[in-house]
Amino acid sequence: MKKGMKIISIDDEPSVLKCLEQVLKSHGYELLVFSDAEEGLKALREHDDVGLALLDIRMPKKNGFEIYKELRSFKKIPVLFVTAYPASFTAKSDDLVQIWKREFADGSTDIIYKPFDVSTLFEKVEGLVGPMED
Amino acid sequence: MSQADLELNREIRKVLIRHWIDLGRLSFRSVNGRVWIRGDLYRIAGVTESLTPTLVETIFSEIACLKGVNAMNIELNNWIQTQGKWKPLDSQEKIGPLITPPQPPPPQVHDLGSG
Repeated sequence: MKKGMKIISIDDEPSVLKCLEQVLKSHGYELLVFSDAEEGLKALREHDDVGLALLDIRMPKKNGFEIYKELRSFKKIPVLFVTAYPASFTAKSDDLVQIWKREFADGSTDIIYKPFDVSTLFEKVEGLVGPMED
Repeated sequence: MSQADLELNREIRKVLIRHWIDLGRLSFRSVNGRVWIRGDLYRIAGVTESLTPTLVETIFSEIACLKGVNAMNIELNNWIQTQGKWKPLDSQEKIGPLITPPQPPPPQVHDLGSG
C-alpha cells in the first residue's frame, strides 16, 4: 500500500512546502503541495488515494483547524499538523478542546513543531502511515 | 514497521491525547512491540492540572499495558526515572548547576594620555 503513498500538504510558506516536498519525495512519498487552503481541500476531496494530510495552522483565509474539521467531515485520514506555534494547542480554546476530544481522540492525528529535524519528520510520518516499501 | 506497530502507535497517541499531552514535543515509534519514546513530556497550554510523578507513571503504565507492547525505552528531557519513580527535571538540572568558575579581573586600562 505504501509505495508511492500520496500526501497532501497545505502551508502558506513556500519554503516549508519546498522542504517537505524534497524530503518526503526523496523517501518515495508522492507529495502534492498547496499554499491555498481551498485548493488543498479541493485536492483532498478529489484524490481518493491520499494517505496523509500535512496541515499548517496559521494561514490566511482558513486556518488549519478549520481545514481539519472540514476534511474530517468527508475523509478520515491521518493528519500531521506542522506549525511554528505550539500555543495554537491550548485548552483555553473551546474550539481546540472540542477537536481534541472528538477528533484527536481516535489517535490518527499528530503534531510537529517548526523548525523540525528531518528524522523527527520521518518518525512522525512513518508513525502515522508506516514506512515506504523498498 | 508492521500493521500491528501502526495500530500500536495509534493506541499510544490515544493515551497521550487522553492525558492532554503536547504531541509536538514528544516523538515515539514502535517496532515489533518495542516502544521508544523521546522528547519533552508536557501538557498543552491551558490545562489546569500539571503533570505529577503519579500522572507520568499512570501514562506510561497505560502505554505499557497496551496490547502488543513488549518493552519500552523512554528518554525524556524533562523527566527522569530513578529507583522506579518519575521525577521532573528543571532546566537547571538539565544544564548542570549554574556555578561559574571565578573569572580573572578584567584587564586594567591605563590612560597613558599624552604626557
